[in-house]
Amino acid sequence: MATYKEIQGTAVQSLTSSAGTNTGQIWYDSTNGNFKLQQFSSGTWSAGGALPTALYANSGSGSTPAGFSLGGGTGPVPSYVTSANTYDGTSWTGAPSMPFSSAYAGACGTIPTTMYVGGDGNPPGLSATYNGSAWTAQPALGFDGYQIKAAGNSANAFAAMGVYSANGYNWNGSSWTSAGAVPQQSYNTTAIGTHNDVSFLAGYALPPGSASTLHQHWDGSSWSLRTAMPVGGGVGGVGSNLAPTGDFWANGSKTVTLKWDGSSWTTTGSLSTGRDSGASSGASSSEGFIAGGNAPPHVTNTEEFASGVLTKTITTS
Amino acid sequence: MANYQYCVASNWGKGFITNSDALKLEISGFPGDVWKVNANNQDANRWISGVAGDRKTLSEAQAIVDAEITQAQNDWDALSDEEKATVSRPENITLTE
Repeated sequence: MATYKEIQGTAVQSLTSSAGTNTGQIWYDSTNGNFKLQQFSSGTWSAGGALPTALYANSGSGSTPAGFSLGGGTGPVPSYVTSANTYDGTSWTGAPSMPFSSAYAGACGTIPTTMYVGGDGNPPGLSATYNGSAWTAQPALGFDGYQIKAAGNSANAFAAMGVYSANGYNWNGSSWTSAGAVPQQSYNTTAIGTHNDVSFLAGYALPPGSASTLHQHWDGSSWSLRTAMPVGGGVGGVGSNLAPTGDFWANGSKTVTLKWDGSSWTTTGSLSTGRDSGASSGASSSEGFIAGGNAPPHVTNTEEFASGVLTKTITTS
Repeated sequence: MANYQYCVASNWGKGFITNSDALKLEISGFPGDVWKVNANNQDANRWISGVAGDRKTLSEAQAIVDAEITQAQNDWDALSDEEKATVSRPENITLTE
């Protein structure tokens, strides 16, 4: 039998952190006084901090540990809120309220480059941007942006897949303009990417509102169809919104999580608390979050997605 | 032999389910703070102890979930048609062993 040193090329090292370690490596954590193993995970969900209020149809942007939950509804009688909360990887903190209330809206960007647009309860399709400290009201879409999804940020964004419009819309930092019709108008989709390289996933095709597995891609000038999701329907925007369109995670159902590597889909770890229409985002296929959503009932809890090399503490149990 | 066991535990947030837990176990949450986790598994037993879980039989767990779902369904039924259009009616959940 090969020894650890023969496999790894070195004896177990004493290190102050996991920096520079490899998958399969065991090391002694001299900072915390325990042994650690670098383990590979294709993707797992762990518990995160709870939102201050149970919400559904709140919109997510940012990543982990810099997430944003925007708007949404409280219940059981639906009441839409203006509140915004930031996530630091442990807990949620109130941010300045948005200029208007809505739910099922589009959101994208990092926290200081956030674009929020449309949503139910917002008939003109108002939009607003956030710079990390204050909101600025921006021009409206000009129609009810219920269920619209967006990618990009406050400087450049692309929004599409609303219930009341079959078109996509470009945001150039000062106005919204139509970019023509989408291939298949759908609602409850998930948007991934940026303004000129964005994929809209699954949802419910309109008409008649039947479950879809479509993977529709906009390259800034034209649409194409990519390999459909193996599990579809609508979970309302649950995916790593800021990730590149060739490498992201997205939920195919309330619990089933899928990863796309640019050519194929694989199934990874499931959410513990299945829900749709929660605030969700992430900057890559290896991290992200979902907070709140409709289980039902509406929930406060956050789950964080992580994949890749994870550090595990070795115990005798 | 049952594949799963149930407990009631309050999710306190970070650390309630760790990545290490998620790699080793199937943990599913249901209304009423009901959690389903693998049966006949030492890691699962340790997780229940670690979250101060109150073990429940399948029928006890089902009763808790049913009560929560019934309340949510009653709340939904009391909504106006306009309000119902934006939120789906909670569906019954059947737990399995």
